[in-house]
Amino acid sequence: MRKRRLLLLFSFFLLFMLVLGGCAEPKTTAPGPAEGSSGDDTRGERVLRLDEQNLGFPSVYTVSSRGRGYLLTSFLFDTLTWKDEKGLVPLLAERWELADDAKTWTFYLVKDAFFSDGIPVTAEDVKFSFEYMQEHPHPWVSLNMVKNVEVVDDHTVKVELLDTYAPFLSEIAGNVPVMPRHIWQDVADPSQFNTPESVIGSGPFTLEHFDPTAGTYIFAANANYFLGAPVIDKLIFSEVNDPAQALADGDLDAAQHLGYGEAMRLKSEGRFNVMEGPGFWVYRMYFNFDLPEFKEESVRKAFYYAINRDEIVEKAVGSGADPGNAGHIHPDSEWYYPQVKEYDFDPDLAGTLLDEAGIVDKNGDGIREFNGKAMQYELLVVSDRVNEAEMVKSYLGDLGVALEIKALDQKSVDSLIKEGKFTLALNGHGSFGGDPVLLARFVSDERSLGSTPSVTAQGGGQWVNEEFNDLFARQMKEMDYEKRYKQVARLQEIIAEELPTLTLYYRKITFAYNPEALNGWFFTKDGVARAVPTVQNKLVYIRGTWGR
Amino acid sequence: MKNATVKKAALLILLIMMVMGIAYPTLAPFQPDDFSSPALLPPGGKHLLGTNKMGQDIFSALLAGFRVTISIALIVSFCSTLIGTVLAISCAFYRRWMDRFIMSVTEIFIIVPEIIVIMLFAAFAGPRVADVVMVMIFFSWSRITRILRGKAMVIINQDTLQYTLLLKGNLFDVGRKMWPYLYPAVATLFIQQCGRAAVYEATLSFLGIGDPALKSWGRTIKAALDYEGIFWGHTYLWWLLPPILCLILFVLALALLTFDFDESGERSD
Repeated sequence: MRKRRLLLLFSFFLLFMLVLGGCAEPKTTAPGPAEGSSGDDTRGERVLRLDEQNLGFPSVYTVSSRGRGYLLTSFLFDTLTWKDEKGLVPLLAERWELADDAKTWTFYLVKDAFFSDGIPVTAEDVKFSFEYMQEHPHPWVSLNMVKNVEVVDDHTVKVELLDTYAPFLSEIAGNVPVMPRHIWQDVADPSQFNTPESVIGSGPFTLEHFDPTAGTYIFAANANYFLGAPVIDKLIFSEVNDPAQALADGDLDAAQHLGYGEAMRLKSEGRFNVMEGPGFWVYRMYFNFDLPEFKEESVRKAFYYAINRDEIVEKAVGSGADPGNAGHIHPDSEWYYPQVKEYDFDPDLAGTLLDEAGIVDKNGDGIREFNGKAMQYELLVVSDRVNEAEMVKSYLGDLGVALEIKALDQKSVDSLIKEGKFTLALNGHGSFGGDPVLLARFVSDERSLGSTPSVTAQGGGQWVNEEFNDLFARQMKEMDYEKRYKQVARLQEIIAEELPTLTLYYRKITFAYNPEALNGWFFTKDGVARAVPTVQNKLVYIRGTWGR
Repeated sequence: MKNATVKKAALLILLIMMVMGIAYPTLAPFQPDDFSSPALLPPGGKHLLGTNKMGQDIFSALLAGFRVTISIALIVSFCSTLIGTVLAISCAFYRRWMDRFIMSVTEIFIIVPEIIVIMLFAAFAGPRVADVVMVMIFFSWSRITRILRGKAMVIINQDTLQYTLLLKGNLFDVGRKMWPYLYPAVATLFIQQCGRAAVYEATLSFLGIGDPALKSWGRTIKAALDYEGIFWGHTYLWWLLPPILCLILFVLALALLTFDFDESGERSD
């Protein structure tokens, strides 16, 4: 009897440990033809395995609206222009010219590009793609500045704009995927279009397999690609819990979702090549401007003074970031303006600012009151960045503002912010580099022609500054860099002066790869497509070299 | 004799744990959320178990865990045992349709696996401790009702109970008369429930459900496992293992206590 009980007891603990251990077990094995396929014939099949999240079916409208989702479709679909480590390069358009009115662009297409079903890419497809995207708005590209697209001949297309649009080449021509007209013309609801036809494009890869539940993508090389066949035969993306471990075990050839500390450790071990670059990814605090207290400039300034950005970078991100600057633009950007008002950590000054604004703790409970209401708020945060939230909670607690942390998953946080259903939020996003069009997210009126990917949008009340709106609209038409820089500098000054958002840090990105597999990785200038911070530029797979 | 020693040891462990939970503000050298120390210090004079990635004292977090985990366990266990007991006595007292009704509801709650439902609801509830505690209470009384109802059905046939019923005693009177007979079983279930609640709390924290700033053992375990370098050096020895050991010790001590009660209960029958 007694023995049986002990046995029972023991098995209960075994079970408990098993459950605990089972949850922690990293699923490091990446599926796909890993071993055995590297035969000793002349070349062998070159398979490159990378880690990636499940970003949905990789057709134009079905993929995730996050930047990495767009990049998956960029393997299948080409655009008119593209970018490499030095800047803009031709892709489907071999050259282009701008008419004297600074509104009409003429693109001359390459003549040897084919869709993967064998039909050549023509000017008709380009015209169709622009018009289709105007008709069916896409979260990534907005075409509200395009007036008219005209086919001149089979390989020449003219795009007429409503007004001069400075970042047109990189932001628009470099982001509208050219879709085959003969397939898409009958598609009424592209968000449901996920048949094998929906992934036929002219890109360097074709989709061989997508597993929607496991989130595994297998891309096969398009041997007829007009820039030359990719150096690899297969590109496999799969969800991996512990990429560093998987890389070490040989289950991955390159790892992109690495913690900064992990990457530095891999670097010191020396077995893999590790790259470190600016992440065009910003982490910031969102205010809901429906709340009167957040309309007060002094409150936002006091918050910024009270938050020690250097300490957040050091402790919450393990030094894997650069501290944010008040002007919002990344210090490495060519548009960065260094002379904006800065807010170095100064808790006393923060307190004084609130005291002067009459926001004081009258009832002595340690929490300040604004118009008689205690300053207690919910701080929305993504559950993997609770450390940041905890630190902000502590800083603002010292200031006399009580926060309660609400942690949710990334999708929920994105959509709550977009719908304006939050009070304070901490969130990060890419699309943060390159052209100053990114500042469109602070423009409050409809006139603006620029747009930012909607994943960064914020709902609810808006921060309104007429000077900012006007100036933003004007600089978007300025084709001269020097003049435009001055305008953009002023925009940064306004942001630093009024703080519509609190820029906390810019994440650095790391990438580790096995030099025995693909070499030639590079960081794209201003990020891939619309400033996606990653090495996932399809040109790597064309220009790279195979190490084995 | 041996039985009593085990029981005493278990009780002693639990008592020490409770004292630590109560006295933690004076025992802890740091506030558990104070991140002013350097990050990732190994154990040393100032930091008994070193510091975590954010520079928080791990020993203080562990001590805070005594209070948080144990009080959550006690609250959940107390409330769910109370609900379960009252429902069980109601079954025996009202019988007929009331009994059938309560039992069918109980059946439904028993059929669904507790932890899954708790996870589901806790994920949708607010990120506050109170919400998570309520969800745990709401979904964990069914087992108790089921077990106690059987006992109550037998006990109600005892002479004293029949006499109370004859005198038109109400539910409360019956409950009071039943208590001496029901007590050993209730105590056993209460203690078992404590252990379950502690494990549930750890599981939820581990999965990232609930208040992310809560300093429970489950949270410490999660934070340790989230740290990418936990298994590189010996960091896991002072960051990951202590909370796991505390949790195991707590559940083990509770279990030893129940097994003992169980036996004495059997003997008295």
